[in-house]
Amino acid sequence: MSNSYLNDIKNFPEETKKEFLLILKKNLNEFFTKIEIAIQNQDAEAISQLVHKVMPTLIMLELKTSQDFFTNLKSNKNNLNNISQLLLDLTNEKQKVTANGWL
Amino acid sequence: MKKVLVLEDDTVQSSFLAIKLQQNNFDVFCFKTYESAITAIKIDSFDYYFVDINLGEEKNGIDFIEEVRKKTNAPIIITSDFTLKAELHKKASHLLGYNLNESEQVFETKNIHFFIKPIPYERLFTKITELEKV
Repeated sequence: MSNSYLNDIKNFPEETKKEFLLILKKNLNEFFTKIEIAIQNQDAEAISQLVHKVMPTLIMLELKTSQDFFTNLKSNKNNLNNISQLLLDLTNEKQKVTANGWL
Repeated sequence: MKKVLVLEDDTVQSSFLAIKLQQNNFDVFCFKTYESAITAIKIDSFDYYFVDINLGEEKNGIDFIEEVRKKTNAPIIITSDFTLKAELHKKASHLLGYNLNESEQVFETKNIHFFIKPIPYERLFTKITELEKV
């Protein structure tokens, strides 16, 4: 059995992989939409909840920088002054996901 | 074929789990909300219960586990975010009568098993193999 989630996904039967990637795309797009709104509203509680939910998926996709981003975000959730930089980092992550062909 | 109930509001996590379980010959039934899962256990029984804690609604996974335990002592696999662990123990101690300071080993004696998401699948299936032998 593979230890890599990405390898598991790549080795899914074609139809299963197609369906799973559609679910993944929808889920991540919803996340990016919601967190951008939460960040604009400086809603720390909403940001925290969204981060908790998406973290396992980002770890599965091996987006290592995302973990740093969210660790930073969590430690700053009550002090969102540097939110512009955090949002920029997140946007970069989204581009990385796209470049990897997951979206 | 063993029947598995999955209560998980994150569709990526539940879909991945369902695929992995199906690949290992389990019959999987996924539910996104506490209410839908409660309806399912009223009319059916399952061999394993996979339960997320934070369901984004008033009722959480611990509430669901409390209802499952009224019916069966079947294995319950808690899948949750590590940051909820302290909160989980607090809720469990309140709702299920477990001591706040009890360790994961004590949970195991209650046939409740804890996995942090994303689930380490190799360890999960090792655990399931162990449970099948009991």
